[in-house]
Amino acid sequence: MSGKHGDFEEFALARTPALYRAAWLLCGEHHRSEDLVQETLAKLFVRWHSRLRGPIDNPAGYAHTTLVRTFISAQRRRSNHERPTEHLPERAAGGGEIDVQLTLRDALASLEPLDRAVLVLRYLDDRSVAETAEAIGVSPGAVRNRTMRALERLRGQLGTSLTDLKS
Amino acid sequence: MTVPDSGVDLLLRRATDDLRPDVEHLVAGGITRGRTRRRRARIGTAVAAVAVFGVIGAAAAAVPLGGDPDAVQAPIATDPPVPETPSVAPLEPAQGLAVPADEIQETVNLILDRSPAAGDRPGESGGDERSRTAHFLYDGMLTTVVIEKGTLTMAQCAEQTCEELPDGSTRLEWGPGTADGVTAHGVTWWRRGYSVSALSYNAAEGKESPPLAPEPPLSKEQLRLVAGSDVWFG
Repeated sequence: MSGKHGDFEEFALARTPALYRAAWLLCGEHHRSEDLVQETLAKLFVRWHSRLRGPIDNPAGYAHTTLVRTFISAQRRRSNHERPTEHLPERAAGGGEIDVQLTLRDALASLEPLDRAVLVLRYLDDRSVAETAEAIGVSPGAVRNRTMRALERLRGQLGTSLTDLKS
Repeated sequence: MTVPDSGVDLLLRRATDDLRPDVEHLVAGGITRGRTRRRRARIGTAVAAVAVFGVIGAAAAAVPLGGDPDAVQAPIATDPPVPETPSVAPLEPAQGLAVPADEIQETVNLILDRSPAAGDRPGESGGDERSRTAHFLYDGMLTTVVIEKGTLTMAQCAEQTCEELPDGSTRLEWGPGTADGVTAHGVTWWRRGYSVSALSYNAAEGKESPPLAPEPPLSKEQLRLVAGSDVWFG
C-alpha cells in the first residue's frame, strides 16, 4: 500500500496502543475502549483523506483530541444511563499491577466523565491547562477546578500513599 | 493493596502498561468505518448537488436573465433527445450490482466508447451490497457516479421535473448550473430498483475550485448513456 492510505495505516498502527491506553482510562473496559478507538480512527481517516483541507499539523495530538471529544460526546448521549460511583465495591486482597489497574479503574469510574477526560489529557497526554481547555471546550479555570476535584477524589479512593499527587 | 507512591502520570501509565490491544484489528476496523463515513459523505454531497443545481436550473428556466417576457425566445440549443421506443416492456428489477466501485471509471469509458485520456485520474471509490460510489477525474475534471438501491420517492421529484419513461423508469436531469464557482450538471435515473446518478463538473473539485473549462466535459447525452446503462446491474 502506498500514498495517503499507506501513510495513514502506518500512523494508525504506531499510534493505536497509546490511543487504546487513553480509551481504557476513559471507558474502563475493553469493548467500549475498542469502539472508541475505532471511531476515533474512522474520524481521523476521513480528515486525513480530505481533499479540501491540508495535511494535519500534529496528527498524534489531533488523534488524542478527537478521541477525548468523541468520548465526551458519547457520554452526553449516555448521560441518562451512567452515574459516577459514590461507594466503591470491596475487593478481595490482590497484588501487583492487576490490583493497581482494577483499583484505578474503579477510582476513575467514580469521577465524572469530563473529569476523567481532564486527567487523561493533562497527565497521560501531558497537555497544559490551556491546551486541555481548548480540547474539551471549557475554560482554563474549569480545567483547574476539575483537576483539583478529580485528584482529591482519587486521593480519597486510592489512599494516603498518593499524597504527592500533583495538581 | 499497594499503590505506587508517585505522580498521576506515572500512575496512569503503570496501571495501563500491561494492556495488550489487538492493534491490527483496531486499525482495520477504524479504516473500514472511515471508508463508510467517506462514502456516506460523498453520497450526501451528490444528493445535495442534485438538489442545489436542480433548484438553480429551475430558477434559471423560470426567470430568463435580462429578457423581455413578451419577446419570442430563441430556441435553446440542447442535446438531442434520447429516442424512446413505444410500447416498451417494463424493466425487470436487477438482481444486484455487477460493477465494483473501483471499476466504475473504466466502465464509464466503455459505455462512452472512449479511450483513457491524459487528464484521467482515479479518485475515491467505495461500495457495499446496496451501493457504489466513484469519484474520478475525466479530462482533469471531477466526475461522480453514485448507484444506490432504492426506488423513487415523491420527495425526490417534488421540486424538480422528473420524466416518466415508457419502460417504467424515471429520469431526472438538472443543470448546467453554477454554485461555489463550479458549473455542473447531472442525470439521475431510477430503473430496475436502483438509482444511478452521473455528475460532471468543470473543475477538479466540486466546489471552490478554479474552472478548467467553460462547461463540464461530459454532455447531458453522455450522462444519460452512463445513468441509463444496464451494464451496472447483474
